Amino acid sequence: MSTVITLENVAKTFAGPQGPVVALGGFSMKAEAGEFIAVRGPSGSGKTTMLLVAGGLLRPSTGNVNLLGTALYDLTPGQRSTFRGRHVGFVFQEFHLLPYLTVLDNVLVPSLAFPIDSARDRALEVLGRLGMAGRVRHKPAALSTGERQRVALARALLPRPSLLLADEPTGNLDGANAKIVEDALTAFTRDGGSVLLVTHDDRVAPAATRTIELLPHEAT
Amino acid sequence: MKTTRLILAELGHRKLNFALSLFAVAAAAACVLGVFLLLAVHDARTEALLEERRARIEKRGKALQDDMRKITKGLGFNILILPKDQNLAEVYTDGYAAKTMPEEYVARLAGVPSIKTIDHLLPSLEQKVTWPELKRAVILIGIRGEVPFVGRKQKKPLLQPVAEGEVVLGYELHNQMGVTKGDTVTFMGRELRVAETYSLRGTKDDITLWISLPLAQEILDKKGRINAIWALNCNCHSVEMLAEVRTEVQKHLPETQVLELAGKATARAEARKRAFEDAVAALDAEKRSRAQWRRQFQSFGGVLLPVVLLVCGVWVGILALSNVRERRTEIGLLRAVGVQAGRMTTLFLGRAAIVGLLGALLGSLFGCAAGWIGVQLLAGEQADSLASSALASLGMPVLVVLVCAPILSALASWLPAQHAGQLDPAAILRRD
Repeated sequence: MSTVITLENVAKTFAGPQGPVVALGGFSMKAEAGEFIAVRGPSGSGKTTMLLVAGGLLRPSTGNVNLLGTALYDLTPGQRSTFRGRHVGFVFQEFHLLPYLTVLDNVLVPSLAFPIDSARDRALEVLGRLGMAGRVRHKPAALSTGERQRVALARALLPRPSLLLADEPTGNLDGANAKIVEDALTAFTRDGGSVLLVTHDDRVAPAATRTIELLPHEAT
Repeated sequence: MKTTRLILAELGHRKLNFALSLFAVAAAAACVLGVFLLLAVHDARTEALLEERRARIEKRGKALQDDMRKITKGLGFNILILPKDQNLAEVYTDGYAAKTMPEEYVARLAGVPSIKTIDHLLPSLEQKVTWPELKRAVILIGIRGEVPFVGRKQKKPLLQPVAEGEVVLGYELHNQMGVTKGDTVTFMGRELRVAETYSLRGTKDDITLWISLPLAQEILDKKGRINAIWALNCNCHSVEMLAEVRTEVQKHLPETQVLELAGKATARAEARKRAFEDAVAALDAEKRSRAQWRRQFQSFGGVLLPVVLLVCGVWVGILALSNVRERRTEIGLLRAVGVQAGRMTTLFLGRAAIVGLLGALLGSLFGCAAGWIGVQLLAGEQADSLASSALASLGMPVLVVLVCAPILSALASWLPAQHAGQLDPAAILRRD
């Protein structure tokens, strides 16, 4: 198995009105290809901060992030954006779909950042796999919550990333929809991808091959 | 997916922001075109007005020329051909030339077919003499009637000749003698029948008697001599053409000099000419007045347009900033999927440029339509032609507006677009 991402002693401190606030303190982990890792911890433990750092969106105060053998924060911001777009997929609890685009166009949004081969065909294929083939021309407002999350998942999967970073993707979903998402994530790992899933959801956590607990003391 | 598709879809989604931005750009574009349109209408109206006045003046000029011809015919815009060595001061003092020239001159002039400026030639011999039988000074004029131009169709004579043995008397003379037409009078011992008597003219004609030229030459002992050739009914279209007549006569009769006779006709002609010149001056004044209005309006436009552009620019900028703030999450998401900061700035600048282009199109349509309606309402009969010519001249301004509006709109949105590119996606997406 090859290593997809490595976080070494990563810490993130923010400046606050009453002095520095440690959002993430000295966190290390490694994810291999095909691993489904659940990251759990109480609110304020730095789970989302860890995901943003791992995804190249938030430069850590200390420590290193290595993605597919590339030191992420040694890249220029532009290079990092493209690298992230090609190799990392994000799924958020709030979906962040663009309300004015159709389902298909929402899935195609990553193609704004860089060219993706046969993007439209790939988008239709992913949507088909997630049971959204009949909804491609609908706007997000016409979809159920579960359907919206599936669209967000399809958008994350479009560029065939190696790493999927999911932040409470099932937090707003009912059991059936949570299962669909869980299955999709599992399928992704079966295809060789790695998943870092931040969740409080006990329904999904058992699907993970490994669970990392972020303890409050690590964030303070 | 293309960026344009994303921009257009977003514009369609956030209708209020889009409509307000569009309105700002359209208002600025319409304002710019409105100024151009007003200037174009003013120019077209000026052109039409001046053209109409020019036509009127031209018509008046032609009427004036016609008048001149009539005046010269009626009042004798004529010339007097005198011997070259004749002192003109004496002519003005005495009223006739003391020097004489060969009568043959008149035949020579009449034999030149190229002379076009003169219609009638009348040789005369004139001298102040004493009428011994009346014991008073009179002016004796010997005339032989008109000498026709060779090869030219004979025109109706302006003056009738006096036949041999006859006399024509001025008012003073026939009145003093109490004679009428058909009576006989004695002049220097010769019995002459009165062929005509003139009524009072208030000129030297009143003390003049006209007899035949040969008789006058005999009485004055100047056989074969004349002291003037009257060139009557000159075809002069203007007073300036006298020089042309003079040149033509002197070319064939170098031993003569040419004198303008009829001051009255000249005065009238000059008066008409002055009236014509006054009309031309009034036209120039109108031209200057309209040009001044144009300059003033241009100055006003020069102040108004920058203010309008500034206000609309600020308005577009505020709306762009509002759009960026409203789309923070979207920006975070786009950055997360790999869209670079520069591309994000371009996305918002592109949106502003599209709004600018659409606003310019709308403003151009609205400006032209409003201008058309305004001209139709205000310009009366000439509305159609004025509006057409004004709108036809708007091609370049419309093109400039269509090119400049997207650029200015993008410039107005520059800071918000930069702000969009600099937003930290992590700060947007971080929940905890």
